[in-house]
Amino acid sequence: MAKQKKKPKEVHETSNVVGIDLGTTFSALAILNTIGKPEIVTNADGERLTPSAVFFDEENSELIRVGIEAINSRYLNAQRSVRWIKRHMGDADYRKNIDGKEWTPVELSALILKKLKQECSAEHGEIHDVVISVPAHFDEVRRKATMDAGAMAGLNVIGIVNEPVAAALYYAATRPVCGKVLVYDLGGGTFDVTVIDVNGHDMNIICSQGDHALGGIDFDKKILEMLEKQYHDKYKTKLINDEEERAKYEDEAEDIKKTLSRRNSAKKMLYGSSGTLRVEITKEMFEQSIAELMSRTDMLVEVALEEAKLKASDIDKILLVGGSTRIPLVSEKLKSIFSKEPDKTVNVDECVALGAAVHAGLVKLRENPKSVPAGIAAGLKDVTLTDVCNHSYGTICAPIDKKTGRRVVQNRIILQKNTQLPCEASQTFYTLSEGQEYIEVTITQGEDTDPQYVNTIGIHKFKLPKNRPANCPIKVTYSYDENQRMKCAFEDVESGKVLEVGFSMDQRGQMKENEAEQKEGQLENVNVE
Amino acid sequence: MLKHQINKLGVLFREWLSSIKKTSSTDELECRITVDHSEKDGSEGNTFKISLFGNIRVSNPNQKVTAEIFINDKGLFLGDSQPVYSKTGEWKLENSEIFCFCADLGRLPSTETVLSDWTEIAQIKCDWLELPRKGLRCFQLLIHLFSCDDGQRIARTECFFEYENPSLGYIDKRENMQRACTMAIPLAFAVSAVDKKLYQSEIKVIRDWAANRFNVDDAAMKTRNRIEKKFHKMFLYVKAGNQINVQKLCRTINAIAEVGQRYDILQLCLQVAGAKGWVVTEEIDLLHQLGNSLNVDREIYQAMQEKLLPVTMHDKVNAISVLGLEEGATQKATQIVLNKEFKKWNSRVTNSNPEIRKQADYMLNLIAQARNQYIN
Repeated sequence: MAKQKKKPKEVHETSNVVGIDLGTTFSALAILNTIGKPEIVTNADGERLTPSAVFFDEENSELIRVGIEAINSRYLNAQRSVRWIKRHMGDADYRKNIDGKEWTPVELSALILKKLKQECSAEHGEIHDVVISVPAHFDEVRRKATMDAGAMAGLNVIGIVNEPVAAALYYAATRPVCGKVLVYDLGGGTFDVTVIDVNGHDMNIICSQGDHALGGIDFDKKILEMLEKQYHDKYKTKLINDEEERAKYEDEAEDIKKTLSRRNSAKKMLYGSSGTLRVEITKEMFEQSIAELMSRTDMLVEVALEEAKLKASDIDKILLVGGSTRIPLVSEKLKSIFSKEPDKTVNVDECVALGAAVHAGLVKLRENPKSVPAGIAAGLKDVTLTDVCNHSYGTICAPIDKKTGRRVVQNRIILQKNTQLPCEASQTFYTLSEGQEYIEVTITQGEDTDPQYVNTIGIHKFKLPKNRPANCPIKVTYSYDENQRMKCAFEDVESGKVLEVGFSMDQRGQMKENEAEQKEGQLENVNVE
Repeated sequence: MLKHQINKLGVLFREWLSSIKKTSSTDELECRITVDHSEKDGSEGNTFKISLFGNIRVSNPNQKVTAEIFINDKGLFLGDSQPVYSKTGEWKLENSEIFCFCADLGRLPSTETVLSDWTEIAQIKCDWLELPRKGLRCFQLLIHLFSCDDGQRIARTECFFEYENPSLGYIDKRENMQRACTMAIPLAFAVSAVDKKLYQSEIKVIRDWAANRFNVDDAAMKTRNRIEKKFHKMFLYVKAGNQINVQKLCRTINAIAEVGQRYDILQLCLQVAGAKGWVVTEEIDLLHQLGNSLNVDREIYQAMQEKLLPVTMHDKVNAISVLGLEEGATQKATQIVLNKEFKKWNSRVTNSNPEIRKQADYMLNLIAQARNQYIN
């Protein structure tokens, strides 16, 4: 039976508190109800999850389809569809050319967010303030890109929350939990492991690790490769000859994957240009094909435990998040590592959005308590969250290498990854030459000492007083707040002169704030359905 | 035979030197230098004690006088003079690195001051000095006395002394560096030729490296020609299929080259291997061997190889060598190495450089394969 579309309710003014899970394959929006409990808002099709897909209508260039219609439209013209755009978030080189317009990942994500906003507003009244979740391993460029996408969609993004943290927030807010919790978040496109110390409603993040390109879509690709290979082995020709066929078989592969979560084998008919082929993919075949991908998850779990200075036996609970955790192999592996069953009591598809809504409530309570209705505030007030710095931040310097006695260019970390927020750290450096009139201060993000392997997220010229000797001290202080935003101060100690940087982004492909506001107007005229 | 004759000449010279130990003075002022070997806080250090003896005449009483002290290396036989430089950056002549110690003699009470005994005016630690050469050398001590009131020179005195420098001098180091650079060329050719082919791109890297290191301003045309001939000779030698004794070269380089220079030489070899755009297994194996032979830290070598020869250049990827695994290591040890590599490359997948991202993705897959093979 086809699902009936819901009629929009009358729009009314509310102080809505909203959280959005902008996922690689599916997105969800949750709102805090009158007593501060988060609830998923269904879309216009009555579904709780909206596919993160965009399709540009061929006949009406002003009509852009988002969601299930975009998924289905791929079979007609795959070139006009976009999926998995989250994988390209922050990629300055990625563009999708549609009818001569080059769409950026930020703009495409904004279309998805706009759809979610529209449909929630139709039911609950206008929404403005939102928290959007991102993978824990997202760097500053990608976080800023996500915020920009929200702004472009007409949302006021009051915070960014890590997906595992959001899930843990929802978990801790809805049931009693105590001890060390490992959140294993394997979604459609990304994988995160976060270790959290939970004591009732107090949550302290200990550490996070993540893989940017590991998720359900990679498992689907492995199945697709098996289908292609089997067809080629039989007919010596390709199964897939165009993008529309690829779209179709991607969905078939996903279907097989889901079937194998419940059964030991899945059968499909392949209709290629050389003939039909009945294939059977067994659970063993699937697990063997994803063995290397699962090895990556094993290593990340081990690395996270090492960073947290914990053993597997120290973990009291394992929380599963993300649709890909339905694969039985995931639970089996975790059981073998931790000698306990992972917790599956929360909805793995929805807990991130629900937790993001909780986080939005906490942010609003902290920054503007009066804006939060009393009922909501009462439901939230006893949840406290202490997050950590997700990446290391540093600066480029030129110390003398102890082994060679030569001056080398090096990245020196100032704020270490996994430092509890809010945090601040300082180091003192020295000018190199006599009469040095300025220093080029470079703000980096990354774990390497080699500058080639870290990202430069800001460069500024700091003018110094003239006619001074070499070796004048320059104190560098980095601070990071609860909203994952960083400030950097460079102080010439002798003169007291200070350069403060309120986080300046690399301009390539990334919008500044005023650009986002300007482009919001453009999207207003774009019809998203 | 020649060495014996030189030693004999040296002995005769020293005997002659001790017989003169003369002072050359314009104003009946003599100077001397004594070497004090002392231990302070557990570390050894020689100190030169400078003394004056004789008369100092000034135009007016109560003139403030300073002494500028220079030391020059006069070689074995009072030959060409080489300056002594300041090692610490202090005590140097204006706008140069030449060592010049200024000793304040205070105000001389009368127009003629008689130093009736050797009077110490300065102590110079040998650690402050950058001497030209190692070994037993003859030095000139030169002292100028100046009036601070009018800047006029009021006296000059000098003497000669011998001193055995225990460390390599700056000329020794420069010569060693050039020698090591010369040895780097056949080593680089060995890398180039290990796959039995000499590519123009590889030869160019070696030639450019050599050209940068043998500064045209320093070397006479004769030296440049000599190097050019050596280069050409090596090229023909290798092209004819002859083997180069890399172990012997490495041993010599280790004996004369400082750590930084050994890294430079290894870097040259890595650059040569990658010059053609890809690298073969034989080159990787030889480079590993060179890294060990040149006593380069294993982790540093791994980092250099990753940077200069990214895995995407390898014709056949040897996971063990690329990942720094050890054959025969325990599963636990392998797991630790793989996790460390995974953490490192995982942090690079979001690098702004697409080549590094590509390399990181490749490495993560390689590490996962290795994990499956050696652990799971």
